[in-house]
Amino acid sequence: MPRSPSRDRSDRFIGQPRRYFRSWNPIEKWKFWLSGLAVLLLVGWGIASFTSSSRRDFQTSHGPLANPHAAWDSQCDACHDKGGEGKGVFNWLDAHQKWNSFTCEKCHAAPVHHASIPAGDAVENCASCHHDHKGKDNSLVRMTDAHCVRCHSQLASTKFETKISRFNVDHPEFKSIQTRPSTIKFSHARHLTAGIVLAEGAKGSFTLDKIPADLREKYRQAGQLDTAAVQLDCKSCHSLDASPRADGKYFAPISFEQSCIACHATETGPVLKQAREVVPSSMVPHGKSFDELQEFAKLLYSSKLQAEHKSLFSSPNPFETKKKDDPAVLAYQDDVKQATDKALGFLTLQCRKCHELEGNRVKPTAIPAVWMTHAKFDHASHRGADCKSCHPNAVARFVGNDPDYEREKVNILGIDSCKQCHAPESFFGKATPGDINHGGVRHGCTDCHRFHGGDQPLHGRGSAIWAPKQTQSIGDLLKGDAGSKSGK
Amino acid sequence: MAAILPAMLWYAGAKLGWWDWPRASGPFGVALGLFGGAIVIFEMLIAPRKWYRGWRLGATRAWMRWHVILGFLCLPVIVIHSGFAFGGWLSSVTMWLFLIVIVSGIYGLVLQQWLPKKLFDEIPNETVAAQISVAVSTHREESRELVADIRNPLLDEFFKDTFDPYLEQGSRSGSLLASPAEADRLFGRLKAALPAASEPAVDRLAAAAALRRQWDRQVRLTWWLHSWLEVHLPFSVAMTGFMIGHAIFAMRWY
Repeated sequence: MPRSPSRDRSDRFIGQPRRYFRSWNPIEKWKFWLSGLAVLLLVGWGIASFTSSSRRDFQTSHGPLANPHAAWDSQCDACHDKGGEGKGVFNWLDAHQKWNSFTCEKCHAAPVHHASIPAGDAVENCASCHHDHKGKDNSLVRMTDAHCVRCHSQLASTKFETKISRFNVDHPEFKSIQTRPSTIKFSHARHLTAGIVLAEGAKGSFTLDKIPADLREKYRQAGQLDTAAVQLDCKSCHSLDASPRADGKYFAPISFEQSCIACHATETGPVLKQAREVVPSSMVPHGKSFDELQEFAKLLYSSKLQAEHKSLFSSPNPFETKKKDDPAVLAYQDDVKQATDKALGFLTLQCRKCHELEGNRVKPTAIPAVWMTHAKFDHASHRGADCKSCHPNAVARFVGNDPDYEREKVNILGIDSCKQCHAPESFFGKATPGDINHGGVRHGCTDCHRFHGGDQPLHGRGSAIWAPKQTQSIGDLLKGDAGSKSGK
Repeated sequence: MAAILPAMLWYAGAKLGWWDWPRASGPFGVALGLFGGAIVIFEMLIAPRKWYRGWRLGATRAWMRWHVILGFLCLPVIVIHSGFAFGGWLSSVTMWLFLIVIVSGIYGLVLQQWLPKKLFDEIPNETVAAQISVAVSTHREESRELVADIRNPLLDEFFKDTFDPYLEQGSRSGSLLASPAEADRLFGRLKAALPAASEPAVDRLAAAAALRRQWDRQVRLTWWLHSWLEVHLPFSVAMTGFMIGHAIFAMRWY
């Protein structure tokens, strides 16, 4: 039988190992050894993880805690309630629910959003909005609009806007600037006009020398002489609240003593008798009631007019030694009454200059300390912008022909002034002046609003309603679970 | 693509604040995580499938096709499961390992699309890569016998100093025979110097040297074709281990 050619080829491998594929080439060896190294690494990691509770907790964490909570990065039960159990049919899948019971109130307290909303209806718990485990620098208080518009895009009819989805899309105009609660009569336009005159070239320009010398420098512009017309600007009356306990977010409220008294000092006016000044004009404290002013004037003139009735007061104790209907007594009492009535009339005129009166009572000025109570605004952060950018009527103007010039509207521009900057960046490039909705500056809900204390929007964080139920020592705080032990 | 598109839309919407980021620990997130984990386990089964190829556990091509398809699907599934965040130490390490595995896998897949055809085109005499040294030793022995039969000192010297070292070590020998042009020149000069009767023998030596050059190239191409597995497999093992640990810790199954 002839040999097959393939037999010749196969004979060449006689003596060679046939199962060569059983032996590894270098690539396979490296694959094996490196995979073995990976297995060793995993075993070492597993042993290390399960032999220490803090290391185990560290493995469990799905991200570093924010800086305020960094001390408890490896201590789950500092914030998580281990008794928390999942709910619902997907319980076995819902790892989130296993960890969704917290003990935040050990250290924190916060007023409810609105007392009328049942607890848990607005949000499930603190962590529904305050998301931690997102890195040390993550903000726990700045959250996406989705948290807010979940409800505010479909509110049932309330006193608030029922549908808001985004600031730059359907946020309504600010309500607080649509009505004028204040009763004060004041014209920014007139006060910012040089000399505070009503019309161009009008006489009676108010000059610096009419301001008391001790207050004059505050109102003097650079290089002005005493005879120059007073030129006020924003800073003449308004200053940011820069006290150590405030940080310049808002302007300090205007006070008569700080901002008005230099030009509008309240005085009794002189008492005259046959063109002779019997009693000079006297300063009167601001903010007193009609009865207090009457008492003040009566006391003032009872003393000051004694010199005009020397015959009466030459004898000791004239009111004990003379009869009530003595002509000298009656003349003195009549002088005091007339002077008092005249002073009150004069003072009333001064009150009416700026205030509205109800009978003898000055109406409350009702100037809010903060105009937009449901939002926060930081003037210090916006101080690079000219005041007129947002308060357009704060400019000089002759108002002589405007009978209502002292009934100013609220001098705050509406929402469109905010949208010039606070809106998504223009898709087509840089925004041009006057553009709205293109600025690119952040415009999230929490940039202006805060959730807690919706019923008491002006309560700062120092308010008692923000105080935790109990305080702890630093040692207990660092232990993390001490509070829950002592608190339950 | 069907999975990547929804993932991209989800990311864009969350980035614009239209909706929340997906929550990795919610029922949907956990379900995605478990689905991704199941894919990873399936992907890992391709290793035992290779070790126990005699068991005939389905066609290799089918395994590889699903290994690739599910590997691609796994990426958006795990990215959505992650909530577009790396998370803590363990999930970060797992995710980085996962990304390395995915990238190395894609790299290997690209090479697998291209190098086999290149091998087929450029190495007509391709042999089993692991058996090249065995085949070479056969060729060396046959060549030695061929040269011994001719008994020419010049040919003996060429065989000893140039030809045999090249056949043994290939391009690592630094021989001029590694270059086809130099080899043609050397064998041409050898033919001219030897009797005409030796010419067939010289041609056989030249053919053996050409074969050695092909196998050298085959070794290089084979290395590129398979060496990425030195990254892909160990990182896959590590990633799978950390992934299981991540699931245990995240669900707190202890």
